[in-house]
Amino acid sequence: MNWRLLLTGHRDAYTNMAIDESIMIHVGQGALPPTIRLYGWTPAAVSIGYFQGLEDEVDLKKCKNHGIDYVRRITGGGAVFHEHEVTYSLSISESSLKIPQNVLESYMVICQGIIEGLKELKINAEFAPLNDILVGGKKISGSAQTRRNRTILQHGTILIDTDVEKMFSILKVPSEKIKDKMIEDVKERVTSIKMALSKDVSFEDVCIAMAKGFEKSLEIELENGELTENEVQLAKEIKRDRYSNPDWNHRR
Amino acid sequence: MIKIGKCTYKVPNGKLLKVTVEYEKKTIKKVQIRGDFFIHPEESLDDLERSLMGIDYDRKKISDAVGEFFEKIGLVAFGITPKAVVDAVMKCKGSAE
Repeated sequence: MNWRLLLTGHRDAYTNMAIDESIMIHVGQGALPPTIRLYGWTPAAVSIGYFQGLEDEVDLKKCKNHGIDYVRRITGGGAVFHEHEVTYSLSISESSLKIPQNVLESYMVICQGIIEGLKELKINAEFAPLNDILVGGKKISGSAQTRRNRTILQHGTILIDTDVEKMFSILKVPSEKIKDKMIEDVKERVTSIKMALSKDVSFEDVCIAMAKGFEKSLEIELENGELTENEVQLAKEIKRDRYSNPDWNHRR
Repeated sequence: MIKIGKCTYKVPNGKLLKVTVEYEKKTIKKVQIRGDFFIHPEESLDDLERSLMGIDYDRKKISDAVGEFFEKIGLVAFGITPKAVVDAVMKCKGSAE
């Protein structure tokens, strides 16, 4: 069976999260093949983990001033600033033999697709459990996974470029005094495709590399597809009811 | 009078927990556990927080409730442990006094 590849371009944060969830639900119903989606974020946004406190992590006023959206994910993990990156999501039934039942192992198998994709771009990367991918010891990719109705959804980022100052302009820090130190720490710990190669790589080229990476590592064939009408419709409803709903985003 | 205790607790080899406990005299009224950890299924954290409502603000009682929660069939957690939750909830008590 061929898997489906969706290249959905750049969308806003609420739409992006709603599309991932809609795909997961439809794949879970068995009507659609396992699906990999590659996408970006416009405007830039911060996503927080399922269990995080919105105002613990994000300076909402500064977000508003900078035109940066914020959204709570259905997956756990930490706050992520999304700007110059390719985001992937992978939806597949838990009964598939391609992905281990064990959550830890499944992270490793799925992240192998990103590692292969980076290899396509001539970047050597390694998996760092639970959910990170490192280049030269620095983080280039992070992922988060949920399982609902016997279906796995894993999504994550592949950094094309970083803007740590911008990221810290909207994330809460314990005190202004240590902000500069934190910025320096993150710069030490985070890298990007641009930094690894000392050149710019386009969003489209990273998407192509990642699609190849998943095909190789999972031994699958990806077939370009579109969201179905049902997926689009459900995504609209999920966006309205969940991701653009303050009750959801402010629930913790 | 209801007191509100708050703390940030780094789980050894794990994630950062941010916990808020509302309590009156010796009784826990409400607990909220926030952080960048993973729990599958996610909704079960609400059950954990609910299971702490109304119990004594006492290490043994909290430990029993949290232990029971983590032993639920199918529950998978990363970056958060039963002991860390208990320690963090107990640490909040000191913060309000």
